[in-house]
Amino acid sequence: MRAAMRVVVAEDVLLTRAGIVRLLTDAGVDVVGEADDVDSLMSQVRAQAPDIVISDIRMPPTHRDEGLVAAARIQRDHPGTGILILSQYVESDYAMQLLREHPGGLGYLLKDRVFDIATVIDALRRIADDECVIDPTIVRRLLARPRGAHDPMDDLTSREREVLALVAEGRSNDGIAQALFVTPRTVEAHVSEVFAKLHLDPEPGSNRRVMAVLTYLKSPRQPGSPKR
Amino acid sequence: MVLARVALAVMVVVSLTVMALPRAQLAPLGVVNPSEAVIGAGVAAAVVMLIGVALSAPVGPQGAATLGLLVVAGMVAGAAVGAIRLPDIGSSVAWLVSLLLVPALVQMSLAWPQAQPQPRVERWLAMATWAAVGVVGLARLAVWDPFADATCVLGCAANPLALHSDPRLARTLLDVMLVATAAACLATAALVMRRNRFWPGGVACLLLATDALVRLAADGPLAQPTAVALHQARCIGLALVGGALAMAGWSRLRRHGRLLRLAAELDASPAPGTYQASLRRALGDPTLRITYPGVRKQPTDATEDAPASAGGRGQATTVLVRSGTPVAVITHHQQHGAALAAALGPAARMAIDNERMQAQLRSRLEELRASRERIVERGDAERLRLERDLHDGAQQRLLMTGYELSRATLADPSLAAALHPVSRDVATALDELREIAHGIYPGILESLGLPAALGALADGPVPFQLQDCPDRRLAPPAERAVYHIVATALGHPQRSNADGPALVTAAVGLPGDTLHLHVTGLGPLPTGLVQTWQDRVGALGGKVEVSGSQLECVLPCG
Repeated sequence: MRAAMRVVVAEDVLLTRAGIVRLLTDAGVDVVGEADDVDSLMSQVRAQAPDIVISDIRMPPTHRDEGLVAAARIQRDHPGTGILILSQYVESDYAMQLLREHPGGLGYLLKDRVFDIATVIDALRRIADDECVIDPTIVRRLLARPRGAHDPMDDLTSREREVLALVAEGRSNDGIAQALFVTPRTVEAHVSEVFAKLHLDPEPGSNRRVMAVLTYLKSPRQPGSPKR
Repeated sequence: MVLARVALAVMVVVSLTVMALPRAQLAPLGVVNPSEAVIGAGVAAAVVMLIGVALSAPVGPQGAATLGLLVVAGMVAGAAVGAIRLPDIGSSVAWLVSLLLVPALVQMSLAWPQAQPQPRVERWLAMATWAAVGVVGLARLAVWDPFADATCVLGCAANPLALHSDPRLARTLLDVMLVATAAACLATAALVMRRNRFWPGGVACLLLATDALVRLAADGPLAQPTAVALHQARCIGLALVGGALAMAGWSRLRRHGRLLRLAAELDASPAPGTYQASLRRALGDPTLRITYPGVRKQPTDATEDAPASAGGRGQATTVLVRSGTPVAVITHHQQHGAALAAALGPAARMAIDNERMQAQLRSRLEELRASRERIVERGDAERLRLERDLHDGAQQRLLMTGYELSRATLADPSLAAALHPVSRDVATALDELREIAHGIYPGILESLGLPAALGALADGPVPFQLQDCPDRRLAPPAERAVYHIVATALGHPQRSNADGPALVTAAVGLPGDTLHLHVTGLGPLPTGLVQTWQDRVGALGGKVEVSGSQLECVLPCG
């Protein structure tokens, strides 16, 4: 059994921060610091050297992207510190902006995902293991994007689509195997089949392939579809 | 016009040169061969003087009349002294007309550069001079007999107009005439000098006055050296006055030429906002300033202002009135008043009124545009505030509720079955609230900018492709307008035959200081929607055009 994870929580709305902190504490996470803006977050990170920082995106003074800016600074100044962004926004760009800089030890979850505390604990563990975590709702939205005829995505079987979704959520082959109750070798076969069908380079690292898949899902469709 | 003036000048030169020859003065004194130098000086001085008179004669028909009078007076003066041989009656009339030199000079000096003196006192002085010279001249002619006049040697033809020969009375009347001439000339010189106006005229008057006084004091034939000295002094004075007249006239002619050029420019195409600069150039008056009453934003830039303030020393104001209302106020140096009045003919007035109306229109349009921009900005600010209120208020409370439900389940797992549906409802409510908040104001536009916000529109039900978008932040109003257009346009895609909505594409470019948005794949659009786009983009000084399935939008984006 590993020691309790040490986290710092940054969130400017006191009510929400208190709720998250209580829930994490109840679940056995060691909340070593709280912050309500970027400056206090940075000083907490320096003072406490937490395993993971849990942060909102919008914080004073401009309520725009302070959380992302702070995350980039922590990744640069304190490598090895995991980051979990808790956000209200379902757009994939926020997560991808962070992944582009630093593909591991990073998570992006919607705030209501925390209702299922087990998911959060699992996410924290994966981040601590230098994996990445993308909210399933975000992945679902990207997969559900309307596409034209002759789209390579149409050639995937439903199992392959499940595998693709789990890859996009940042899971390793072992994690996918556990989730789908199959062997890791089967997962490996599915993954290489999916990558082949989507004309993606087979990527060795599971973190890098997350970005590749997300970028593929987001990218404008190839020409030839649909006829106008 | 110019030819007539040149011809007039030649005539004046020829005739008055004759007058300036000193025969009348020197011959009676026995000077048979006055030195060449004296004659030459006299001719040169007269030529300079006459060129000056010709160049500086007042503008307009009345000014031409005064000049003409001077010419005639000069010619007959020549005749009067015998340089030109005339019948006896001609000599008598010529002498009378030559006297009119004095009142003509007085009137011109007082009125310059106009035809009539403006203050009443000066008009009276001019009229009194005309009257005195006329009456006394006629009276003397009636009693003067050249044969009985000891001072008359040349040009002393018989005077057929004499009613009765009375040498003493004639002499007295001549003295009266000299006194009147001296008085009128001195008064005119004083007035002209005091008002600091046409100083060559003043000097000429002083000269005439001195001449009259000397002749009065001599009271008879002059001694030869005195006469020569007096003549030399006259030559120098004449040359000085002529030079000054020529300078004044030349600069006035040049200014007149510039004004003519300006009129031509105006005829061609008066560019609004340039009238002040044109007038400044034309008059050589950098302090000149045109203001349009009732126009808030004047067409001329404030930085163009010369340091001299309106109403300062030597400044005067000309108000242009059209149909009873003042349309423009021109502040200028007072010496340009007359030239300006002459220049501001009907065409110039129309151009100035035109400039005023354009300025007024532009000023109102600018106010209107600013007001539209403010309305849009206020609407956006209000939506942003609403979105933040939702984010920091209701959404946070729902989150808090969800967290507490989770804690309860964590503390007592037996509650899970009962609380799970509640927790799901809270999550659904949060989802819906997120959609509403996004509809009120897209947070991603605020935080990540246009490319991310437009790219995320592809998550919606309509196939959408963002083809191009500059990866830098733009002015918030421009970002909002572009996002608003694309997001709402996506609600009206072109319907393809079988597979639902066709692809909608958007491309944003930044050529120069403008933003171009190009959207394709649009279906029929409700007119209200296009109107909304035009309102929003128009408020920023841009425009939207929809043709067929395409949309073009151009926005200034400095």
